[in-house]
Amino acid sequence: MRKLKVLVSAWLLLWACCLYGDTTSVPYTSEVVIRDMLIKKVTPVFPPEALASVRHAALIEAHIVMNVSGDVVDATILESPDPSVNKAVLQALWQWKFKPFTGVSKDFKLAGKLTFYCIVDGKSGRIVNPDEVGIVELDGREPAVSKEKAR
Amino acid sequence: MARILKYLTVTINVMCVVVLAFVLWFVWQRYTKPGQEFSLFPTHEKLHAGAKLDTGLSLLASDRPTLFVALNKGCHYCAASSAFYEKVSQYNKVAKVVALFPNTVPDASGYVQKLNLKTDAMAVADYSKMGVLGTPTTILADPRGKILGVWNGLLDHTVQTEVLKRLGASDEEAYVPALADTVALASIAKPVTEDSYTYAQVKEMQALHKAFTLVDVRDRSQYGNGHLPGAINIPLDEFEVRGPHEIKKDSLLIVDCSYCSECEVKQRSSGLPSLCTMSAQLIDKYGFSNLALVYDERTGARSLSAENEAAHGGHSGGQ
Repeated sequence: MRKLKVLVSAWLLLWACCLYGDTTSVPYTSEVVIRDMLIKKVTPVFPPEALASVRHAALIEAHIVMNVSGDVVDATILESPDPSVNKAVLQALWQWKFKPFTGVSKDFKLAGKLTFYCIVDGKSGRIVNPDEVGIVELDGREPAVSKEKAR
Repeated sequence: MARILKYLTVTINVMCVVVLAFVLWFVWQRYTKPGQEFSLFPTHEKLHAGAKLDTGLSLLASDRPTLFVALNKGCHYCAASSAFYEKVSQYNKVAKVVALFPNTVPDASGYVQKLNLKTDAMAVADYSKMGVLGTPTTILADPRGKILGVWNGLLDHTVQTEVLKRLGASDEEAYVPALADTVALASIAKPVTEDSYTYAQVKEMQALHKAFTLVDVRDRSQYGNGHLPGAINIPLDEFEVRGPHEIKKDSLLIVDCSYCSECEVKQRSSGLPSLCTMSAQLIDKYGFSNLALVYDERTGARSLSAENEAAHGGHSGGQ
């Protein structure tokens, strides 16, 4: 009988956790909207050890979650050329600050993606925001048009 | 020992009651209380049929009903609703059409034009005070400001028909067909894309060294599980930012969105646009007008094999 009670309470607790977990799915918005809400931006510093992984240019894609105050509460890297770049970008993103939300509940969170490019010029590199560069020719890719012209 | 067991039993009983109470409270909060959280398709106590619209705007001084369309720049569902807005604009003699924006948007008129929405007025409104928590939100109000109907998000064909009828369209005029088959879907996508290719045609173009860029707009994980040889991956939600930096706008852009006729019909019937429909409409709006889709269900053609990658020159499109 006692075992049954323990089992029942454990099952109920698990169910409650599952229900709670389900509601934590965070609404998602586009990068343009997210960048419009930005009030403090810290540019990631290019780590010299990443020079070995980037020839000319590489993409960095990050996913962030912000809370109602506009603070970053979660940040992950979806794509990057080198683990050292991940660390540098995450370090910077934790310091980013967005406009606080009004008219929503205090548990409100908003997620979105952020794009950066690693640009290597000779023996130095930098991490830039998309609006700081024009056309980027990423390593391992070659624009089809220029390829045809070269033939 | 017996005492400890007794305490343990009581504790378990109390735990059961507490957990059960928590679960009941949680279910009540989730399913019965009006939504207060932000979502793409929100409900709000301020916005419902019969309520009075208090916008602080003097836009209701008209003998006609007013259709408010709450928009936002960068809202994908607003862009995907452009065909509907074009139809709504035909009834602006019956109802006043007002486009709302949450903040001052310098190029709002250009954005409204892009959406094919002909408006009587454009205004800035505080969405949180109005109760608009997501865009697009379509609100129909009578001349006194009483809300006749509120529709959230991207509207499916039945709701579009309902809105048009309320604007005075006849049954025939208001009829918006359900996309019951792929022919109907293609007719929607065609005006935007003009061209579409099968996988075999793309392969032939690669063999003939035609200049184009092949972009796979699916998620990273889907792309990782297999993609057309030579395709680069720019997920659709990243395209707005990455597209202009990674693809030349004057080049032919062929988009692989994993076309599947059954999925298209299923997705459309749910009232949400499919990845292919969204791709055709959004990428064109981002300024890539030389655009075509891969309409091919040969998913077997997608391969990650090193041989294919090597044979087709890494990640670039045309060969």
